[in-house]
Amino acid sequence: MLFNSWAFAVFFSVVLLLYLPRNKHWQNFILLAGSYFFYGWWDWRFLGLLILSTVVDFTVARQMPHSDGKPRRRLLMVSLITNLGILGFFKYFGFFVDSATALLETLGFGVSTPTLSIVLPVGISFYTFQTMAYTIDVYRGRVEPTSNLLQFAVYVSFFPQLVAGPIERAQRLLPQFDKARRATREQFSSGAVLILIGLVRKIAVADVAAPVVDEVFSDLGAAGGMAIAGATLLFALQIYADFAGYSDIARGTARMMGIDLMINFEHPYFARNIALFWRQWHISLSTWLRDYLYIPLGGNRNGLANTYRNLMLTMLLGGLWHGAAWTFVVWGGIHGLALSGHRWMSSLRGKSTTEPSGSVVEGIGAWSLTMVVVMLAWIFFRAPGLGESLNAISSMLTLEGGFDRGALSSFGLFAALTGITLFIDLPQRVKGSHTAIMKWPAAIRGVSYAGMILALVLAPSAPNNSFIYFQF
Amino acid sequence: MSNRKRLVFSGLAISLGLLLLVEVFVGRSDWIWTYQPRSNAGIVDVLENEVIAKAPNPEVIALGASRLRDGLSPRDLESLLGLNEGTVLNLALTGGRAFDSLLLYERNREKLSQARVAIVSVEVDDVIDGRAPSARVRRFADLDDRLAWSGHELSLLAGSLWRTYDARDQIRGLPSSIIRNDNEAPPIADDGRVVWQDEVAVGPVDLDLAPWEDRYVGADPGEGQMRYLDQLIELLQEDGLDIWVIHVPLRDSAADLFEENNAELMAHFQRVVASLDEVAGIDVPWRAGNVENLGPTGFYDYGHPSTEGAEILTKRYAQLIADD
Repeated sequence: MLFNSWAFAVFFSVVLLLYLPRNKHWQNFILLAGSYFFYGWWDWRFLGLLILSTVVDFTVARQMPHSDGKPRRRLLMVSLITNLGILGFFKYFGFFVDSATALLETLGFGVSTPTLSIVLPVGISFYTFQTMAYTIDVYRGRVEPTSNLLQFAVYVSFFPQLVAGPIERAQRLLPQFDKARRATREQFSSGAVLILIGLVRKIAVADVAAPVVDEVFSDLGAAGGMAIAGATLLFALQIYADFAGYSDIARGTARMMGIDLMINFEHPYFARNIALFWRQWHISLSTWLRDYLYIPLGGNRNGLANTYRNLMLTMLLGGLWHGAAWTFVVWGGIHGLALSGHRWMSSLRGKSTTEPSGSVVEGIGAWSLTMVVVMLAWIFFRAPGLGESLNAISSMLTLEGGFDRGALSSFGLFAALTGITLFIDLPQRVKGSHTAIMKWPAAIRGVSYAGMILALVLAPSAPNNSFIYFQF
Repeated sequence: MSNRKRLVFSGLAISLGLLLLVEVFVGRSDWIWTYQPRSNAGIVDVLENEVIAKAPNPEVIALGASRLRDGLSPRDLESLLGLNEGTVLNLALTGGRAFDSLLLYERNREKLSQARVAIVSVEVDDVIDGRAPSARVRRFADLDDRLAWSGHELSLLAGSLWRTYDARDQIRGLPSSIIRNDNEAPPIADDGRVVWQDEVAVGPVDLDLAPWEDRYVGADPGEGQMRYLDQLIELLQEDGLDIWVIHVPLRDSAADLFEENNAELMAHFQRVVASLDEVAGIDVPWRAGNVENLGPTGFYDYGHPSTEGAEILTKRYAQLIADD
């Protein structure tokens, strides 16, 4: 069930009606039933995995306060093996078998490998990371384990953020299920506005860009350099609008139920360096990687060389988290290199990595360089293979094919969709609020709401209107 | 009311007011549907105003899909049957399904019921459940129709209240239609057929069928639009017309492709059409190979007849009617 579907509109209305006037137990029960229904709508068979993850982590966490040392570590291992096992089998089994086969064949060993057609359960990367974070935090003593299975099950499966995040921490989300929720009028209206903004991002920006991007990237060999450049810019906009749109709708639906989810995007394309970009892009994943991977690896504590190694490892694994393909690993590698390079430059200048550049000219230069790196990395993220990605970059650098009609329309569309995105993002950034539109004068607000609703209605229907991050 | 509340309320009221204006003057106005005569919705008005209204009392009417639209030449049929000019009306539509055939007949029953023969084409698409409804459904369907379809297309229910949503494709097409000025000349050819594209006299011998490979992939065989066909046949019988239910044959290679990829659906279609033989004459040759002289050049694509194909098929339909 997609957020941008009529089925979801009906589903959410029913859940909201049943949910709002009740006590916390009933509310949690409704949320759990609704979340399982929402997830089962895709494929009910994978509900078993969700329940397995929930029961194992709940049980393990409950035992942790009663154990110490090795037994406690063993309990943590049970959780990690269960979650990473599920993730590894469903997401990475084929990738590792294929990669091993290719390596052996390169070395001259002909091998026959098992062929398994494994369907990737939607949202698996998100809920396994969320529930693992809980057991790790309980293990570290940072979170008290809950004794309420219903609340924990809702924490793992809460439908607004189940399939594509934000990856919430137990400290933030779990206590919210421990009290009856009454959405205030402000929460209700700002939630509705967030949903509207999210839908505009998804339907009027991401889904409009998608067909052009798909056409170019499905046959990169036939596309000219400028057409690829245009499609790359469009993809950058598409993936941002798609994922930020999803996150807005997730936050909006949760807020209408009196639940506060974390901000996942803070206008990352305004970032003036790559470290800031990662503080503004997919914040729940980047902070997860920082807290549960980068810092445990040693972070920046053991000298520059180790810091660079830790950064690279974190970003490479972060890339692999997105998908079982070498293109995602390279994407992570580019960001890892860029972050390492930026850290090195900052250390030379004696500045913090997140400190923006000083002068306007310096700022424009730093922003341009950041965007070039981000765009370059998006090519690997979107292209079907490494060879295609390299050829695409080569075509772009040589301006192969010139500025043809296709390229012109891509750039035209990019300009139009950037306009819509800036209409949403600029006021948010200036006012420092994602619902800045609610503070506008009534007339401007009214015209804006009506315009946004009409944009949703009039945007052409996309052949495939699923959210990009559902595949991860 | 506090200032804050007033501010929230006034923004919402202005927004709703603007949407209501669009709803009243665009979504619920007929002009948005009729301005683009070459759209699937606007063509209904062209047929009613330019063909049905201007025709003398009809003798033969043809209702159905685009393959019949291209495959039956009214002037040729008149001459073959010795009828007066203008008495054969080809009212088949692009994307025409049983819903559309019933719609056209019901809306113009007084005139059309004077005909003696009705040729009604059926397509495999008519026996598929859950295909996206056309612009004509969006324009004309009543609540009963929408409820019947809602299992597959929930937005049809929203469209019954919020007509702007139903008209979104029309609204989006408006600027380009104005620029092209395409409402000037109604798309009716001299021989009485609706012209949807440049005429192809002789189709290609070989055709790459790749664009149609997925045409019926994932399609669920079912009742589809047959309830509308049943209603149409009932009306035609009531009005005393002889009824021929036909399926315009497919290019042989396309028939092979569909049979290979969608055997269950094709068999279901054949069964459904055969079951109509108690209430109507049936002519379902299925593939070109079963029609004398009709070869691949009789089609400009997988199954739309070229001029050559239309001549052959028109003769066939004339023969059916004459023999009857």
